[in-house]
Amino acid sequence: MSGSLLKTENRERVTYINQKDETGYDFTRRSIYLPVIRNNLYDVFSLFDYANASMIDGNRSTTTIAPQALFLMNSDFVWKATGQMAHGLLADGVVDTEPQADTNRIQALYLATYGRTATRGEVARARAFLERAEAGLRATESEIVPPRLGAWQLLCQVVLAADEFIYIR
Amino acid sequence: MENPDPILNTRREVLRTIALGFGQLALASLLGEDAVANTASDGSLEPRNPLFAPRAKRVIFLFMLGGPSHLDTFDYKPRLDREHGKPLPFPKSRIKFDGTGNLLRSPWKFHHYGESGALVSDLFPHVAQHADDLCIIRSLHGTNVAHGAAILKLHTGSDTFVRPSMGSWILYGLGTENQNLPGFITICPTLGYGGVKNWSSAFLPAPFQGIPLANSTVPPDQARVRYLENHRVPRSLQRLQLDMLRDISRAQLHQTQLNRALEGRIQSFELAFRMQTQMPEIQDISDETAATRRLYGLDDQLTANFGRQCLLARRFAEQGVRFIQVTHSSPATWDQHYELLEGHETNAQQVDRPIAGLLKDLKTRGLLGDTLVIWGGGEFGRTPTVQGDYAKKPGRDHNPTGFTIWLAGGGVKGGIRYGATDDYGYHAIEDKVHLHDLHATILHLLGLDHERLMYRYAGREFRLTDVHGNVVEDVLA
Repeated sequence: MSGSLLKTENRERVTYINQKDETGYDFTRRSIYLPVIRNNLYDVFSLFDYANASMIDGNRSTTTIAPQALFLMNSDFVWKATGQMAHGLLADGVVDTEPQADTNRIQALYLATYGRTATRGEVARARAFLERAEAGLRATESEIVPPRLGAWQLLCQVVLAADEFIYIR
Repeated sequence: MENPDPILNTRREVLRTIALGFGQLALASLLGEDAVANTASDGSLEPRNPLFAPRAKRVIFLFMLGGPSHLDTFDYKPRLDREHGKPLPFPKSRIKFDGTGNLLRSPWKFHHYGESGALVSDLFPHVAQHADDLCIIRSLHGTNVAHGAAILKLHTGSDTFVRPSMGSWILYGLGTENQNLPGFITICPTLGYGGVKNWSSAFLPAPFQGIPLANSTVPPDQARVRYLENHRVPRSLQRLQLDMLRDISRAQLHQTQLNRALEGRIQSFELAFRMQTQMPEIQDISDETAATRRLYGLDDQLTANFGRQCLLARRFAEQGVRFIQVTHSSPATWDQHYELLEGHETNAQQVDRPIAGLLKDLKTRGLLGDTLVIWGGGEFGRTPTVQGDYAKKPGRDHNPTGFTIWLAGGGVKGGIRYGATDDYGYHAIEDKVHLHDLHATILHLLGLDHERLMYRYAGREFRLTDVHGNVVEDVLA
């Protein structure tokens, strides 16, 4: 995990309007380690209230706006992440809807994301969601296949978008 | 391994919840909440009837960051021509941003325009064609000589504390007409000088925040709300996801205490879901005719950027967005301490045609009557006295004690000049209009009473105008 995170040559990252910024952000590190290009801030940073990088700012603002929701609903970034989560959860190969296997997966998902187990009600809600999502994917002949895996991915996306994952209590 | 369902967890939590609930109920009735009954403390964006008949339904606020010089645009001072190089015959403000020298005449000629005969400099030849629609207020004054504080004051009414932006107050009072779009959009705002605080809702409910379309570091042709399309997840399934999200967020709210920010998040997902239907087509200006593009200056590299911002503003206005701000701050601001001639020339060239085009287009489409256009000027004007050497591209310093803005459309008198600065354009002296008065007047034009549009926070009522502000009756049509 050592070495530079800058993919560009020195000074190539200096950009101005209409120039192309070659900086890459495809790392598995925390955002604090990512490159900050002052006049061309990383999209995800600017969406989520990154401070103006040209000035001193003693207090990061927090906004709650629809474009942030759109990012969680529609971005490739989130889709890729949830795809990996779903694959991980179904890695045991049990793709049928055996109740205990699904319950265990839901518990694993809650532990990994919220650091706690799911309540009985949450398990029931998640199971109901999986059923409806899978049926929905079949009915719309979605490109998300197989439908059971897709349903899990949609569930992972909801869990990641929820307040309990985003906010620290 | 499973948690018990934490509907009612502990005796202590039950008591706390009940006590809070009872307390709030009692307090609300004691305070006679009917004074603010017209508004939406729950953050609802549903359109609400204003207190009295509005003259304007929406606002387009054109903000020229940095402080354009009133003395070189809309406030002609012949004495500066005659006394160029001589000292100002009275003391300068004690609180100054920087030192200045003797008087500096405007490098631009002024001409009379329209039947009203408004004097406009050669910096704005296109806007000047609409002189008879403009209500030019030449006696504006604020309090702060520094950009950051002055910009916050203009946007929020306070130069010291974090307060809701004017657009947020308006959404709180009126909601918005189109539920598929944000009610408050700011196009290419600057991230500096308070940045997000200038479009934040502060303590007002989160749904009243402004939605930025990119920011000043992004070229306007790339200014758009992103991630509006999802080619993978069908809409019906996204709906299912959002219902699930609402369910689990509600359950989490229950466990954690009611939290406004979290309520706001649920609403932000709902708005996001609805935005997917209409936002893409509004952001895509390819359906505009060549004539319209020309009108906004999209055919010229110099005006294309700001022209696109203005065109987007009209498209949003047309669709019922309540408050639209357009910021000009890029590639340079209007902060000409030096090189006044070069800086203002370029800046004005970039905005003059687009602004004139916007006025004309709104008029043609019958939108100007109920759209209030504010050329916000900047956060302040500039000094009549020089900065730098006369021989070496001089400029002017910040001046918050007298400057100019103009209003058009939306129930204001066109073709008038209101108020005046002194003979040198230093201080507002006649029919003075403070920024608080401007805010009061804007709210009034929208049918809101600035003294009654209140929000209770941290133990007291707050207003956009704090304890100040008078509606400038003389500018109302």
